[in-house]
Amino acid sequence: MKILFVIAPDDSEREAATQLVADLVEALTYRAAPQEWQFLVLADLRDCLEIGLATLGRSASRTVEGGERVRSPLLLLPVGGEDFDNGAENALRHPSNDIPPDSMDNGGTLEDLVQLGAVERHERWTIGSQVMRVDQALELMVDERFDRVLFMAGNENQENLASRLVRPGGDGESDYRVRALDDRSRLDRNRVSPTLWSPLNEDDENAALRETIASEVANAVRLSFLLDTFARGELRA
Amino acid sequence: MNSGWNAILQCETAGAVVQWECLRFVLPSAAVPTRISILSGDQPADPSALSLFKSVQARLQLIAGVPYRCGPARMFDCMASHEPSCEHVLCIVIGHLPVSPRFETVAKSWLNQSPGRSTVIPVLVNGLTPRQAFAGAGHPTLSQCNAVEMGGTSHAVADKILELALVGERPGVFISYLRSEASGAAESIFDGLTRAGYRVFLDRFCGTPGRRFPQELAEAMTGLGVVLLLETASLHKSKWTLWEAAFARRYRIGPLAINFQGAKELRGSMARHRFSSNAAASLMQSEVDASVQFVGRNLTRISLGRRAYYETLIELAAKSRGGSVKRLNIGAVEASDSMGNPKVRVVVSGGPAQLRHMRRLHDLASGTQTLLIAGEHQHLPALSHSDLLWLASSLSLEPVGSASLYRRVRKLI
Repeated sequence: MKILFVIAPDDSEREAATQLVADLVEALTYRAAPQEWQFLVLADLRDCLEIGLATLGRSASRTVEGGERVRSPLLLLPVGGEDFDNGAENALRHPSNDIPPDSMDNGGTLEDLVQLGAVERHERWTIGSQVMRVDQALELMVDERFDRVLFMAGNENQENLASRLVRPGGDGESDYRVRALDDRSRLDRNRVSPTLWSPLNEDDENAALRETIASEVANAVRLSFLLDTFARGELRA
Repeated sequence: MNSGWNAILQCETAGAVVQWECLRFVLPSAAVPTRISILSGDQPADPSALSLFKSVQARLQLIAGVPYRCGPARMFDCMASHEPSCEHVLCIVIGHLPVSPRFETVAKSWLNQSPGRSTVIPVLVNGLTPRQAFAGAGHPTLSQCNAVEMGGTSHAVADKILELALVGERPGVFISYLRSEASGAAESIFDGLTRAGYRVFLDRFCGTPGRRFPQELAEAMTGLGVVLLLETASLHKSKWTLWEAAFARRYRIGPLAINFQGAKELRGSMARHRFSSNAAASLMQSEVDASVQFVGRNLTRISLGRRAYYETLIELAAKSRGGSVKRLNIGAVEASDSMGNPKVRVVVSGGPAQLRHMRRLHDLASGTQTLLIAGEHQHLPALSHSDLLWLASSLSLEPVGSASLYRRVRKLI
């Protein structure tokens, strides 16, 4: 089972998309995943970090066996978008001059995740390489095929590129792809928490509280939808 | 156990014409049932007491919808007095001196009605200070209760009360900052938060020798309630800060941000407060107070948001199998199958489970229902995690994380 997650870095809904993919990846990996499972994430450096953290604390199952470490099912390929300055990019990817040179401090945060066994580096993510644009990365993967592609928060051209990577044929589910954040019909939050949408005379602080709760309800609704449809069959109860 | 309410809000004024109100709510995200009583100590305090009541009511109504009106407020003969798991919070609003001896008696009786589950908060208005209000030896009980001074709006005090009532304990704060740029501000905010009663984790460099940072940070952060970033010029270049900000988002503990001198903002903060001062130097008292208020204002929001996420997953899992959920007033959720048979009870700890969550869940044991405790248990230190599993197994409880909660409940329905 190979799943591709694409979060285009230049989209305003990227944060919600990142949270959702991280929740889904955590649900897919909370138990040791079969060796043939592979989840590839294309997202910007910071989003890769957040999604990679979803597997932290679960790397115990990826122990060294026969001299080889069991691979993490989560592969990361950072793509560009945000205009990172050198310092921020260093902190995420490379050794940084700002950090004292001891063992754990000597690499970027994403490198640490690789070192900890929480994630694996995609073959096109090499140390020192330039960060690719999302469409560039999708074009370079033209020969790869995925059972599912979850494309979120990007433009039509990028979505078309991603759709070419879906493995054809199969069981009818294999070409499933979702623009999860656009699927408003499935985000009927009122169905879950009617009081959230009651008209109220509220001040800014109450509005902020309401938005936080509404946002978390929406996150849960989206995750349950993806678990029931997109990842159907892959999860053992 | 009463399933018709899990929050009661009462108010009684002291004027010539006494006003009273008692409202009952069913909160979807309450940790335990709670009663909040606001008592005006004198006529000058009446407007403040009513304002505080309305602020708390607005926040509760936001989460729970329109309340049921009980009738007259009954301080010591309330139905909440018969609920053993109920937390009782009494706010005595004082706006005039001398403080009547009656309120010393009321406070003492309140604390005795349910020891360990009762709190008294003297709320001082009109510029009164605790030293003025409780001078002399006439108020031995009230003078030992932490007072709050209410100036301006009642929102900040309302948040404090709700934090106490709904979050269940004063949460901890993890301050993420660059020592080279923000040591002064960090220490000032540390002092302010500590004085306000928060547990604070300030220095990530005080870790255990030999432990790896990411694990130790994860353990420290999930055990606390919120991550506070102090944004200065180079913060976005610090790898550990990036870890901490990402971790906070991942586990729904913020982050909140305080920005200094227009520094580059870290993406994804839930709320941000701005100062024009230099973070390297100590903050002025007004800035410390504003920082503490900013944290307090957002803590309830973070806690309730996280509970809403877990509880929605439980509800959706039950509904996906034709079942239903009922919120029990002890802070648990019960999910039933399509025939209405209760199958599972869940206590949401959010963070790693504490003993009180396990006891609360154990007390709910009934018939053959499965008992789940839902939270981020995986980031407990290894030995604590092993202890948790042992205790859960001994009590027939099942710890589940946010990742497995939906599937687990779905399977049990």
